[in-house]
This record gives sequence, structure tokens and C-alpha cells, in this order.
Amino acid sequence: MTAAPRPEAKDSLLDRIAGWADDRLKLAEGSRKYLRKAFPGHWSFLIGEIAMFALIILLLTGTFLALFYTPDTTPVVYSGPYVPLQGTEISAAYNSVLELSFEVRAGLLFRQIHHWAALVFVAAIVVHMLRIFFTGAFRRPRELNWVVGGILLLLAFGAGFTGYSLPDDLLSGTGLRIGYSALLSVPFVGPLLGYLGIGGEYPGVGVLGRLHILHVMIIPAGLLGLLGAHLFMVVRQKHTQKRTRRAREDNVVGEPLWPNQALTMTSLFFAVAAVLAFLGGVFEINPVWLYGPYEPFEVFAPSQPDWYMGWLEGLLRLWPAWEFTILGVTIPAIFIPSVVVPGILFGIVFAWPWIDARWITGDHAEHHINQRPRDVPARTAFGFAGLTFLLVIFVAGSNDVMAAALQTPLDTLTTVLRWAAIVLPVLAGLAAYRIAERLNQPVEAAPSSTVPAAKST
Amino acid sequence: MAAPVHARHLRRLGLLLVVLALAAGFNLALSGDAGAQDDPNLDPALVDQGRELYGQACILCHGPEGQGIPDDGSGVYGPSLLGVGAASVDFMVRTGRMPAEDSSDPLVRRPPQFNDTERAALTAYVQSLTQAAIDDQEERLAQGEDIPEAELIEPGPPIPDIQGWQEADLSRGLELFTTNCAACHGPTAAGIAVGRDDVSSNLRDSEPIVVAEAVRVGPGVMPVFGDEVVTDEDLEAIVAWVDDVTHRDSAGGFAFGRGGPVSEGLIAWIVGLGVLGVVIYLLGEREGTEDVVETDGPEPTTGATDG
Amino acid sequence: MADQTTTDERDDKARAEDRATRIAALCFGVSILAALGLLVVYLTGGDTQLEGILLTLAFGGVAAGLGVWVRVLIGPSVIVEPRDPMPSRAEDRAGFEQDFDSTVDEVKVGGRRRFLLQLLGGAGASLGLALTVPLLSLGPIFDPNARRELFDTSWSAGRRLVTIEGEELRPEMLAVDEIATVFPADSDRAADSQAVLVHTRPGAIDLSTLPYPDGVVDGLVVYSKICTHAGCPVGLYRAQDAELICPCHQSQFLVTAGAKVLSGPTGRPLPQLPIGVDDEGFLVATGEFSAPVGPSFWNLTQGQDS
Repeated sequence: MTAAPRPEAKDSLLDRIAGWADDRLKLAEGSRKYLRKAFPGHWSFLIGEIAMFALIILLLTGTFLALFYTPDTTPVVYSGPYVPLQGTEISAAYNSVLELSFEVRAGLLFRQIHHWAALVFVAAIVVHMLRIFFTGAFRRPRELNWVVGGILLLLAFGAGFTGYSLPDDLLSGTGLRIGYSALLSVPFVGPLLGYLGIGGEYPGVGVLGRLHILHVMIIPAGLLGLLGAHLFMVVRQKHTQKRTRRAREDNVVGEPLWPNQALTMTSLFFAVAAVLAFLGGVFEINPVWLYGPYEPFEVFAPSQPDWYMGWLEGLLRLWPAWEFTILGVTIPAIFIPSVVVPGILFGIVFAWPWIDARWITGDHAEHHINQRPRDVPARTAFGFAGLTFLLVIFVAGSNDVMAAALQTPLDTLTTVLRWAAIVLPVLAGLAAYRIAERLNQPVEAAPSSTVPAAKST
Repeated sequence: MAAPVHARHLRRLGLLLVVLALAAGFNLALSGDAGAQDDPNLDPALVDQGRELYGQACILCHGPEGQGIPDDGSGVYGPSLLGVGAASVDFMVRTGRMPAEDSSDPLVRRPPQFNDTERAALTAYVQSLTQAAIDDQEERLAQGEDIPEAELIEPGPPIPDIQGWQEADLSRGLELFTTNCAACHGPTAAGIAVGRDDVSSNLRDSEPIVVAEAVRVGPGVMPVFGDEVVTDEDLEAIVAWVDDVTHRDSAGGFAFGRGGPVSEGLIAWIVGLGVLGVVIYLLGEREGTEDVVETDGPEPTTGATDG
Repeated sequence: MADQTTTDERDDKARAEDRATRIAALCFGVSILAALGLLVVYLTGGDTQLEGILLTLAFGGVAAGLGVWVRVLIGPSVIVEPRDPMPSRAEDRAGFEQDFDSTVDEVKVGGRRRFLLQLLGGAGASLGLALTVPLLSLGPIFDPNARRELFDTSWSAGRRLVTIEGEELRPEMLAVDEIATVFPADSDRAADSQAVLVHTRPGAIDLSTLPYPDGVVDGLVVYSKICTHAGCPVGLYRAQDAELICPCHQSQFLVTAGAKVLSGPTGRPLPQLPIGVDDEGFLVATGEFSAPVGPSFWNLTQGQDS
């Protein structure tokens, strides 16, 4: 085996390092083709990258926070600089968050960046998912990656919930209490699940320790592992692309990874970091010191979760008080909106690629060129209906805030929202369907009517 | 032992007063003040001034004796003021809730219509009406008349003494506030919907004494917190915390009205994802992405591969 | 195309490039200054807002500089990459199957493969069951008291009512329309025992609607403070209407009618705690809650008589 030529003096340092590594790992052979990997151009293809970069910021800031946080409910007497709590007995966990916020230099900045990053992270995931949905990018061969994306969203929810439960302030405790009640409501095994979940009767034993491990280890590991799988599949299957003059099912038209895409991504990473730094520095988020320590008998209104849990919160507020007992078995009122309905919603999300192929398009073929929403009116209609439903229940999650802002009786607003959750999705779906069909009309005669062409059995 | 005196005590006390008053031959209104020694209602000049103001602003709805006018459809009515207490009168007038233009006016904060002296005079006068009613009640009780508990008139809560609030214990205030107040007023006392079409008050602009009086009086749908369970010292702590939390600089930056996760979510979408949306639009639009709507392109794109 | 470019156009292009280079340089410059400024601010005491803005400029400078670099200086370049359909080629798939199947025989042991496989499957399933061991250790589910804990609270007949500060209460201490959060004396504010003591207006209570009509003292009535929906403390009291409202999901309970549900998402009333007055004039519980407190669970109705 002939050795690679010795590096010459004129080679740059980078060349020499790369050469050294290649001498030992044979990197060039496999990597070369990726330099010219094509990244299709459309701005919406970068939404998912926002989520990815927000995750990186979350990991970086989170690592910093983890060095100061104590997942411990042992009471300590607060003696820090925040006057209103001086001399109060609070949990070590809450104490550590106050310390981080007021005593650790730049601690509050990083805490706030972390929390804002979480909000933006989930927002980006959701928009990314909507893009995939409405353009049919989940179709064969990408069904599995759609499912992985759905699990990533669930993990993001989990990361968020466990995260905002950690500071042990009054708001976080309220969220935890509701989560526990949902667990408790499961027929037959609820009490058992509740016990296992929090280590005993509410408020439980060592819950913060468990949430902490979930938040800093298990969920991030899941996120990173599945993100790896997500990206692997993207590379393996290559990107979908928008229908353009040059795009075909058997090619990928786009900019090369090096230098265009690499620099674009780097630029975007720094842009995400900049926006999150701006939010973290300039906008206050979750001022836990104002809320006071958690006591099981205290609560305040409005008590809202972070935005991405708003739909679930709204479902809990809107769902009618249907509680019944059959043969001695009580189905708690909270069970259906907090467990069954979310289960159904995510069931539909996960099964969507197959539902879509089986009942909407009848198209089981492999596709790499994306559709426009108008190309499949039924899917678009369904998507808009679902989105409208989620939006209504999301709004209902802050019905008390809305009632105060709109000066409407709370009960009236709730009743209106209940009907809206049923009626508006139907209307939105019908409207979307009609609009999609209308948009299709002018091109009816043209051969670019895409769906039938792509159809196969 | 100030505000809510139990009927049994009251009876005993009243009897004593009657005896004392008769014995000394003094005007009852001047000598006997069952509930609130601190009330300024002993100054006859003040009471007189109050009578005049009452005649101008209150008498129409609350009646000449403060006994209230029932709502008989005439559109002019009002509740009885007997036994509402000095704290209540002072609170209503100080916050401009009273006098109202119209009997059906909602009980909301308005610019006050009386200055400090006038308010003191009105308060004194209404207390003198209450006192007169109580005296009358004692006489009837002394004569063996049976008055139902619900109709018994008590002096009502006096204006609470919270002069020491600035030195009060904030952490105690925080705990009392979150236990008793935050469920309606919110974590930062900013006010929120509290059922029906009521919205709890934002306490940012409420003077400490107004907050304290509201606690004792329970205006509108608000519950009452008497001085036996929530002592004046507790009250000072609550007032101190309310003042602190509503005026505290936000350490974290713009707090956008302290709307909690609702406004935080809005900011995350608008400022966060909104700005990043512009960024990816600038970064991501590339050549080769032009839309093919019509089929002028050389290569119509079909070629789905079957699996 | 290039040969058609006129000199003017070439000059324009060069000028645009110059301008872009200057802008990118400026961006990076801003970034350098902001990052150094951040250090200075940090070292001299720090300020969250200033640090945040400087960090924004430091990151944003790099982002903008790189953005100009890639979008203007490098400019668009489109490549077309071939794409194969996803399945492996037929011969690869067949080859794999063949290679795999040809070695399967080696795994067989004298025709008993099926039996061994079944045992292996059994071992796997049993191990799977055994894996619940660490899970079941997460809660004290083998504690004989655990089964009762959702039904029991720290209240019992004779326990005095105390405020959050541990103060004992007499009936006359509460004004009409007053509300107080109470716990059993010496219970260390047990979470499941929190209750609201409400002084209703005279004659307002409809005793016939109460689980314990006798458990009321002079218009004073006590209910569990834990919402039967999702467990939030029911802290919002509309004195005028005698309605307790849960601030989390707005279930409304009518205090004067056994805390029956007026509206909102919960399915059952707040359990009542019967109270009386002891020899020394203090309020005491005279029994336990009328039903299990807190959010409902499946065997809620099965433990009441035990």
C-alpha cells in the first residue's frame, strides 16, 4: 500500500491536518461526493434547520444551567439578594434557580436564552412539520422520517414540560399537578402510574430529581439520537424538491453543500443564536422570583403552560364535564381530554402517510417532488381543519386572559369556543377545499395537473 | 375585636352602652362608639359637612337614613349603608366608585369626586348613621324585640391601620398574597377574568390604603378578609408585597405587561420565529427554484418511480 | 453569457462586489467589537440587557457577514445531482437474501430449531416481564397503606382547623363573605388535606344539598380546596354569588349548595368536610371528607365504605 504523498511545506495547516486524518481514517473517499451534495433551494427548506440550531443552543445553554441547578426539595432559608424572599424557607431547587438568576453572572441571560430557545425550537418544529404536511413531503419513501419527526415533536414537548417544572416555583408546580392528575385519571392503572410517576402520594418524593434526569439526560439523548436518524434518512433519501423547470423525480437540483450550503447554514446558525440572545437579553421570560415558591395550596390565575402545551390546556378547559361511573369504574372527566384525545390526535399524525396514501390520494408510489397544497385539495382541507381545531383549543387555553382582554364573560367565551372547536374546523376545511379546487381550475387543461400523472398503484 | 363582632357580644356591649349613656346623660352618638375608636366621626363639624355632601351626592339612592332604596323599577335605587363600615365608605369614595351617576352604573374605578376632607366628612356621616341605627337596634333588643341575625347591624370594618406597611415583611406578604389573593388578582396583581363578566382589579395604581380597605371590605364579588384571620400586621405585609411586585423593575428585560406564558408565546412567535422567517427568506431563495406553473419548460416532470 | 457582458456590466459587478465585501467586513467588525464589549461589560459587573444586546450583535454580525458572503460574493450556483429510486437494486436484494438464507442451516441444531426458538422466545418474554422490576420500584406500591392514600387525608373527627400559619379558629373570627385556607392542626399543611372555610351569608346555605347538613356551623362550611378536575387549589371565591372557581380550568362550584358544579370541566362537586365547635370554642372537623379529595380516579366510588 502506497502512502499518501508527504505533505509539502507549502501546504496550509488545514491541508496538513486533513491529510493527517485521512492518512489514518480514509476520509476523503467517502466524503468527497458530499461536497457536491445538492440542497434544493426554497427558503422553507431552512425551517427545520432553525429547529436544529435552536436545539444546539438549548444544549449549550442547558449545559451551563445544569452546572448550577439542584434538583432537591430540601428546605433552605433564602439569603440571596432578592429582598422579598429573604428569610423565607424555600426548596433548594428554587433557591438554586434564584441564585442562578441573581448571583451567577450572566446566569439570568443564559436562563432566559434557554427558555426562549425552547419556545422557538418547538415553534420551528411545528412550522417545519406543516411545510412537510402541506407539500406531501411525507409520502413514500419518507413515511418513516415523518414518524421520527413526530416523535421528535413529542420529545420536544417532554423536554419543555420537564424543563419548566424544574424551578419549583408556583407556576411550575401547578403544571406538574395537572400532569399528575392526567396520569391518575387512566382507568385501572392511573393510581399505580401516579405512584410510580412521582414516587408516592402527591406531591410525591424526589420528583424534581426524576424530572431533572429526564430533562438533562434521557430526553436530550432521545432528541439527539432521533435527530441523527432524521438527518441520516434525509441524506440517504436526499431532499425532496419543489416542482421547477429542472427538477425531476430522478434528480436533485440545488446548491452544493460546499461552499454555498455550508456557509448558508453557518450564517443561519449564528442568526438563530443572535435572535435567541436578543430575546434572552431584552425580554423577560418566566420570572420565577415573582411567582414565589411552590406550595400545593397556592395557585394564581392566569396559570398557563408554555405555548406549545396551550392546545392541551385549552382542551382541558373546553371539554365538557363528562364523568361517569360504569360498574363501579369511574371514567374521570379529565381522562378523555388529557389522555384519549391527544392520543387520537398523535395517532392521526403518525398514521398520516398511510392514511394519505390509502384514502386521500390512492398513490403509493415513490415521490421526491413536492406538491403544492392545491394539488391535493382533500389533504389540504384536512390539514386546515386540523390546524383550525388546534388553533381554537389553543386559544381556549388562555380563555381567562382573553375574557379579560375582550371584556367578555368567561362562560360565554368558553361556550363560544366550544362551538368554534366543532364548527370552525369544518368551515376551514370546506373553504380550503374550495379554494384549492378553484386554484386548480385554470390549469385544468394544462398537462401539469400533477397528481394523476404521479398516480400509480 | 374591631370589625365583625358576634351578635352575642354585641348585645352585651350594647346594653352596657345604653346604661352608660343614660346614666351620663350624654349624646349617644358622641359617647359610644362600639367598633372603631379611631374613626373620625366624633367631630360634629365633620359629621355636619358630611351630612351636606351626603344630601347632595348619596341620598337619592341610599336614602335619608342610609337605609337604602329598594329597586322598584324606578331606576333609582341603592343598597343600605348601615353597617358597611368606614373602610367601605372610604374605599368607595376614594376610588371614585361612588358616587355613581346612575344606580345601574358598574362598580368600577373612576376619578374620585371628593377631596380628602370631604371624604373624611362623608365617612364620618355614614358612620354616624350606622351608629344611630345600632343605637336604635340596642334599644329594641333591650326591649326584648327579636331581631333576626341577618338583619343585625354591626359597625363594619374601620379603616385599617397600615401605617407600618413600608417596614413590613415582604416574604410574609408574598405567602399571604399567593394564598389569598393571587387566585383572583394574578401573580403580579395585574388583574384577570374571575367569572361572569368580572375582572379583578389591576393593583398597580392602587394606593396601599385602597388595597388594605378592599381586603377588609370585599367590594363587588371579592370576598372579605377580617382582622381576626388576616391581622393588620398581615395586611401590612400584603400591601407591602403588592406595592413591591407592581413596581419592581423587571430584571429580565421587557415584561410586556407580565402576561406570563401567553405573552411569552406571542413574543417567541413574532420576534423569534418572525425574524428568523425573514432571515431564511433572505438566505434561502435561490436560483433554480422558480415556479413552474405553466408548461413552458422543456422537461415536464413526471417519472415517478414505482416501487 | 460571459462573452456578452459589456465592460460597464463588468464594472457594475465589480463595484457591487466591492460594496458587498465592505458590508461583510463591517459586519464582522461589529461582531468583533460586540464580543469584546461583552467581555468588558461582563468583567465590570455585568448587565443582563446589555450583555444580551452585545451577544446579539456578536452573533448577528457573523450571521450577516456570512450571509452577504454566500449570497452576494459567492453567488448562486446550481448543481444537478442524480437520484436513484430508494429500493436496492433487485440483484442486490436477491443476493442478500441468498447469502442470508444459505447460512441459516448452520443455525439449526438437528431439527430441533423450532423447539429452541420457542424456548428462546419464552426467555425473551420472561425477561421482558422481569424488566418491570426497576419500574415498579419507582413508587411505594407495595406499602399496604398506599392503596388507601387516595381515599384518606389527615382529617379526622376532633382535629382542629388551623390557618396556613397554624392559628386555630373560632367561628366568630370570620366575617360574612370571608374565606380562609385551612389545614388539620399539626399536619404540617398536608397537601391532600387543604380545605377552604367559607363564611356564607346568613341563611344562604341550602342544607338539604349538603353531604353533611349537620357539618355546618353558623353559615361556616368547609370544602376540599383541591379541584376535582385536575387538582389545582380552588382559590377563587366570588363572595357575591358564593361561587368557588378553580383558576386553572374554571370549574365553578356553588358553595351554598354542596359545592355542586355550576359550569366548567369537572365532573363532581368538592367534597365537604363536616365541622363543629369543640368545648373550647374552636372549630374542629367532625369527620372526614364526604368523598375522596382531588381529581377523580377509576375506583373512586369503591373505597368510601371501607
